Amino acid sequence: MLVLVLGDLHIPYRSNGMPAKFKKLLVPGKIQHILCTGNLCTKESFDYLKTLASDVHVVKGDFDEVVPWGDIESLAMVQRQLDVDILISGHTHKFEAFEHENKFYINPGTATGAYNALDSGVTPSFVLMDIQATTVVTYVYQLIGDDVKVERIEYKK
Amino acid sequence: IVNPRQKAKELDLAISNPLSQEEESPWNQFFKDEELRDMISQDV
Repeated sequence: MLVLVLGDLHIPYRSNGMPAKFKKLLVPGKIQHILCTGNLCTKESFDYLKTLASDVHVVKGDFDEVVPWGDIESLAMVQRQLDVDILISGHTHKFEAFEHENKFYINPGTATGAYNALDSGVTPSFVLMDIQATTVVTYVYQLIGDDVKVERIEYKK
Repeated sequence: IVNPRQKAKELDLAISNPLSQEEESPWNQFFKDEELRDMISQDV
């Protein structure tokens, strides 16, 4: 099962759209679910995601963030509250994927490379999870310069 | 049908990732096969 994880698009306020090279990769018929970490900003962006997969989940709002942003202890607290194997978070506009106490944490970053409150040099990125029983292979797509760089991270429950 | 997960490990990630549309990508082949399989099951 392929699950697309992306977010923090900030269209049209901080970015005029997803990079063309990302859009070229994202075609309908491959992805079963989409998890979005929010800040899509417009219905048009949501509709675009809907064209890629029928099942799209988006977080509630901008202020349901975990503070301090990206703090591992705070994220671990949410992980325990939700009792999940994989915790997906966003808002920092910085890609991250790591294991902590046998749980997997993913932050897909921003798919448009939109700036955040503290940083203007942001690398556009998103994540695709290939879930097979107890194994998740995470593919990370980053736009570095003009090229899409792909990385692969494996997590076993 | 090819299993892209097994084959993919031997190849360059830039080609063998699930979103790749390269001809030689096992994932690309997998999705093409799946499309064909869907069509066959519709016809049967």
